[in-house]
Amino acid sequence: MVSTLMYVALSAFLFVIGVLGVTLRKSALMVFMSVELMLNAANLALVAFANQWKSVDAQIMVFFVITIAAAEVAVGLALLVMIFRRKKTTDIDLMNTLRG
Amino acid sequence: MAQIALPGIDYMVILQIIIVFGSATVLLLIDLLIPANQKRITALLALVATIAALIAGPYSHAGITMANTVAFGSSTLIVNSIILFATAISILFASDAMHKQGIERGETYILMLLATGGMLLLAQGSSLITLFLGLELLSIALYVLTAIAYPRLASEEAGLKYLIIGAFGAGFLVFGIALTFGATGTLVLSEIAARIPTTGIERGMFFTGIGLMLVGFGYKVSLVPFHMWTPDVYQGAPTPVTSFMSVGSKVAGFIAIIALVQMLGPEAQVISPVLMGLAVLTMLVGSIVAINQTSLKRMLAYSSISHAGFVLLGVLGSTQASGLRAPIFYLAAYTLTNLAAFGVIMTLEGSNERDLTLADLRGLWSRNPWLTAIMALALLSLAGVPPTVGFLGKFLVISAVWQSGYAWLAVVAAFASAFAAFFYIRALLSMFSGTSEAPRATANARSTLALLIVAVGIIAVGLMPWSISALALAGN
Repeated sequence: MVSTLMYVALSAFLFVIGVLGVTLRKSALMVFMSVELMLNAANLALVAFANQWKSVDAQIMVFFVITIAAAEVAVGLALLVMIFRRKKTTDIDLMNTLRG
Repeated sequence: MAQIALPGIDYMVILQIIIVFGSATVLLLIDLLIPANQKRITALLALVATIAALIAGPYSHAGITMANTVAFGSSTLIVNSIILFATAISILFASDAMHKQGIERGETYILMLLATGGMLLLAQGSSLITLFLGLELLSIALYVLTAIAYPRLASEEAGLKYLIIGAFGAGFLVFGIALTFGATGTLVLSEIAARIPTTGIERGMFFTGIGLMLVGFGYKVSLVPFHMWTPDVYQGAPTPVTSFMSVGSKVAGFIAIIALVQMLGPEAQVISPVLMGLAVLTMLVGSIVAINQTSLKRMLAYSSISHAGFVLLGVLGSTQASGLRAPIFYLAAYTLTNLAAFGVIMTLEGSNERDLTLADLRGLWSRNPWLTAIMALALLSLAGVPPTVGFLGKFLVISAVWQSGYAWLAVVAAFASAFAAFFYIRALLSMFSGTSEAPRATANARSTLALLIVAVGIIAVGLMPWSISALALAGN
């Protein structure tokens, strides 16, 4: 039996990779993937804790997170396609129409 | 087979949420039958739904339902009323401004209702699940609204930027929720409050979780250092949307932060140094950076950041003595004032897509005296000059902080508002100086009505602050 702590350690590791991905990656697609990694790292922790506390609440939370993440990415990809049609790039550093 | 016991639902507790989400869903269908040049009918229907939800407020039952995940009480009633009021005014503004700009679409009003439903859920949430759901429902609708000015590239880029930052914040929020659940074994706020770990690794995990959740909500209400997206998104989004999101998502986000701080009870002192630091940074950075801005929308974006600092100060004060009065009143004041300021900007924009700058305000008095008067009122209220509602908001927050024993914080807040006053007064003076060749701006009946309501509100609530607490009494 793997202890809960191991799962949480793994999930924290994945979460940090996700955070680094969002901050360092330039391609919007990679940024979306990194955000998914952050959310799924949290899901892993939720499931591990749900098992530890023998409670289904956190598992229900996981379903909500999965659904919301899907909705978010759907909107994100739609926006990205619209922008890509005109700018021919997914590099978020080049999305600089707005500067103060 | 094991029986699954379904929790009971008291529909009167979630009456307002039901009305808003229900009508948004029905409107999706009705909107199909409305021709593209008649979308103001959709606006009207959305407005009726919002007002119905507003009226339903006092009839809702106080209590907690759906397995302790949604609650309603007297402070929720005030917050919900502020949110629905902001939505109603925003719908009026949007149906005028978006029509003039040629970007009026039926979805706008439906998405506004969906975002409003999310805000109400956030305000009524009493479990981490509902707080998360409310935040995301409001955010996803706002991402689309930000980008709704298609084919304007600025609007779409702003939408994508908002989405990436918002999703990043959501990641922190969910991870924070996971850690908090891990430390306490429950997601319901009142149960968490009873099970805050006192020692060991669980305590560390618990407060890490709280911290991560604060980061998540901090992005939403644009606290410094989580504010970088705000100016770009406020500038790129169509102005009616900027106005809606600058008030709605801030009110809802702060209610969630207040719920977290209340949940901690006496343990809130563990995080109060962090809150103090965030509040001071937010007030000062917001006020100082605003001085350099020439774009009106960017200026108001930084102003909204600095106001977020003041609300956080009120939240900090609420952990000690005077309770929630100061932050909630400040949010109400901020809502009225910001709606007035953005309403004037929308009217000045007219059919013009260009981002307005300070120079566009020059000589406004000579061509639009009434608009100038409303803008002057809004700027004075943002600066916190009596007898406006903004003054009272600042006064309540600063005195709450003073009573809590953080005298130095009250002094910093006074300095920050002096800094901030500088650029509000500069904008104010430029309206009265010189003359301009620009054509007169015209507002139609809908936005004139909305402008009048908020302008009267700024003065009336400023002179009769008890009108807002009377609303609270009506709920009991």
